Amino acid sequence: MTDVLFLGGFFNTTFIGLQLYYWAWGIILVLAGIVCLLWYFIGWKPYGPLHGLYYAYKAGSNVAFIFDANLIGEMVAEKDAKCIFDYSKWDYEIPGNMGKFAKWFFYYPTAFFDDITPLQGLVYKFGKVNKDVEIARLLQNGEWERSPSAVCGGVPLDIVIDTDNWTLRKSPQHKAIEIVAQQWNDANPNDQIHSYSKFQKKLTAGEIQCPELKKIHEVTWTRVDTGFPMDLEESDWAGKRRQMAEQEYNEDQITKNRLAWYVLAGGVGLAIMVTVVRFVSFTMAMR
Amino acid sequence: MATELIADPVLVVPEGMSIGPLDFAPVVGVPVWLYISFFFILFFIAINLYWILRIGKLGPVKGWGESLKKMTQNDVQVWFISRVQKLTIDCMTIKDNVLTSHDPANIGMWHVNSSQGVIQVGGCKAVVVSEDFDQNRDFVTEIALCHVCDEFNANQEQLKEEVDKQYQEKLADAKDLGLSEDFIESIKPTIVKPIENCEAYEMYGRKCLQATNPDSLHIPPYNIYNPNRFRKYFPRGCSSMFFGGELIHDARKLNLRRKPKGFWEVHAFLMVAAGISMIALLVAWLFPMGA
Repeated sequence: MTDVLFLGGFFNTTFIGLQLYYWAWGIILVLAGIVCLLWYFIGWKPYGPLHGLYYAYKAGSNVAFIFDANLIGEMVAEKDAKCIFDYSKWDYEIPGNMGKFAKWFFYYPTAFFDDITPLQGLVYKFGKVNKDVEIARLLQNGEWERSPSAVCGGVPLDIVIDTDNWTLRKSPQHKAIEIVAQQWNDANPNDQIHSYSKFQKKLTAGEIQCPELKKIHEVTWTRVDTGFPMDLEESDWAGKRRQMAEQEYNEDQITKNRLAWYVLAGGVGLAIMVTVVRFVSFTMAMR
Repeated sequence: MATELIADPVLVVPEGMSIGPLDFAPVVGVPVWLYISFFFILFFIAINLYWILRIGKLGPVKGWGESLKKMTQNDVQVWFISRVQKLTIDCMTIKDNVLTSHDPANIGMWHVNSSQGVIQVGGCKAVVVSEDFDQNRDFVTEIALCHVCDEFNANQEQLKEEVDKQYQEKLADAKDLGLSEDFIESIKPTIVKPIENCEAYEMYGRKCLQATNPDSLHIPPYNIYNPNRFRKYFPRGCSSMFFGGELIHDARKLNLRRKPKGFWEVHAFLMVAAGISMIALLVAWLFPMGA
């Protein structure tokens, strides 16, 4: 025990039977909770449809925008847009003899990759780093479709159009794809299917059958013609011209508004100058 | 030598304070509770850092939320893909289907032609534009066109045979029925040549494709948009900057009725103000108050 109380014993002051430092810890914990809630609800949750960028960054993969036929979209990590299987749900033979505890520390990508050290595995496991894309690529012998259309915060962005809800994990289409792909993989271990695009190719080529899925999506000529008009209607062009004319008119208004400020500033300047001149002349007259 | 008695220092705890087991100070008089407090503070800092870094990763798409905040009645959210393929999100003014920047120095303009190309993310509608095309993008259309053109180009021989066969059948029927020369002319087959670029699409491709796909174009249900593949059919010289510049020129032509301002119209007001100031100064100088 010390012979002098720290900071003159300020933190040893008791309040409802407890020293102040206990209360300080409580306040810090409560503050931490409040701060967490604030960060979550103000900074994180409103960007829900774009969280995929964070998960893609963490996984070191591409990010993807999945759109349906009506172009309603969400930004997701590459694994959600391209991988058929969720490898975390597979049954793995856990190495070693650690019993139940092993499950807590087992990082499933180590079943596919030898180059992950146990320490890295632990860090990835508790940092929730997802390696599903690498696993799928490995199982497809490196065959993987990537064609980024843009770069978002240094992460390449793929645009995926999914008109039949294949990528929705709970959709009947996804479940059917999982079953058919698994059957194919069991029968063809050297030519496995792990991505939707490879599944699509096999389906189009007629190598696999999946009656639950739509084979085509129709795009009307009206949509094509509005997307790629060969001639814009004159009224449209007139609209553009009107817009420009209006902009020029607004520019004039802006100039006039600026002029008003100049006049005001000039008036104030003039008043100051007149005052100074009067003061100087008055001083000279007094001599 | 007399024995000196020194009493052990006695810790006097003032009233209202108390000491507990955590006041034990193993090193340089610093009590244990202070070490624990230090860890609590570190924990608090770590939590904040964690969230700052986590939310910071969403920085490039912050424009999605910020543009919603600063959006006015005449604005629309715009997802902008630059020439170096950088994606940014902002809001722009839309009027007469034309998107313009809030910054008047930015002459890039886009015509929102395809309403079906408008995307929706998190309940918020947005238009996708890119620097190299002066209209809004519709990825579904681009994929469809690319897919059908590729398919069309790959099956040229078969298509020619089919078209020719159909023509011969129609021709035979027309001759049997004794139909006019005009009718026979009208059933002449559409040219079947590969559609290699946008010009070919405009010239004959559109007709050929509609002949082979009369109702709609068919695409696979799952597609990864490939910008490099699509470039083949992309219209050339449709820079949004060119569009803006061209329209300024057009707008000027339309504004011919408004005479350009002359020198006096622009400067007279300031010159009169300056003149009055000079007179006021001279008056104040020559006729000082009380002189």
